[in-house]
Amino acid sequence: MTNARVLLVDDDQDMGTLLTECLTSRLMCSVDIATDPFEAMNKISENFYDLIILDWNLPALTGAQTLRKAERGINLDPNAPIQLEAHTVPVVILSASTQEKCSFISTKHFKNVGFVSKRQALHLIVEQLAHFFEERIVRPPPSLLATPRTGLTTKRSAPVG
Amino acid sequence: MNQSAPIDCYLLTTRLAVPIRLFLAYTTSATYDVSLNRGGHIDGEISEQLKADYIQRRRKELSNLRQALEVGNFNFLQTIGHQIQGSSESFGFGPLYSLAARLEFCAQQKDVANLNVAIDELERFLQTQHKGET
Repeated sequence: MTNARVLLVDDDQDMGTLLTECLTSRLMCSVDIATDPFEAMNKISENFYDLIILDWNLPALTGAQTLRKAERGINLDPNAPIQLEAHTVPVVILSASTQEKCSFISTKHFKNVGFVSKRQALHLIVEQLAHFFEERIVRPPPSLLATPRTGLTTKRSAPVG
Repeated sequence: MNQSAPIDCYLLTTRLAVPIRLFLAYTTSATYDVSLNRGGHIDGEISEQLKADYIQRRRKELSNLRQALEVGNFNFLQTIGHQIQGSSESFGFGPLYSLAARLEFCAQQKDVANLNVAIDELERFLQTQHKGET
């Protein structure tokens, strides 16, 4: 998988740096980092990502609350990426908490595809993330990708009422 | 007919064994190896500078941890304990994980005495790492 766009949401600066380096060099993807939920929401409403890697314990909000707010924001935002009309974004939870504590129900725009524990060696984390790249990511059809990102044609129509 | 059995065994054990093994190896590991097999063990590739920076940041955190303990900010202590648990293994500092787990647990329990002990132990551990970096 190359050229995938990934949003890494993690308030831990050290992990953010390390994982970005690994994802960029090993999995050949481009990574945006958000260090708090609100930065994450902004990035989600401005860009379409092939995968979101989401830390669970964020400042002020949990991962689930962040996605719920992002979902609400996308529904109200006429400038949200057009790809979100037809595709859900796969979300992998990356956390030091246990998987049981990190469950969220998939929404219209975000699909829960799995959990990766931070409590393991780096090569295992990257290996498990690689699995999601290989197996789970479904890229939008070329017709949508070819649509220019700027201009009115890329924007969704504003919600009525 | 009597000769067919030995021929089948021969085929299975010699001619088919290799393709079967190759097929199994491909189907079970190919999806990982395509992306990851670019040489080297990833944990061994974390630069010493990154590790030193990591330890340095943890050292700077110590004073914040003590301050938080003084004012009873257990949430902060819990958050830091949780964060260190999440990153210590990745940076190759396994022993830090159990210290951080104690920090988080004691903060949850608001156990001031054991929090003091945990922070002292954390400080001692950090002093032994990357001594060249101050």
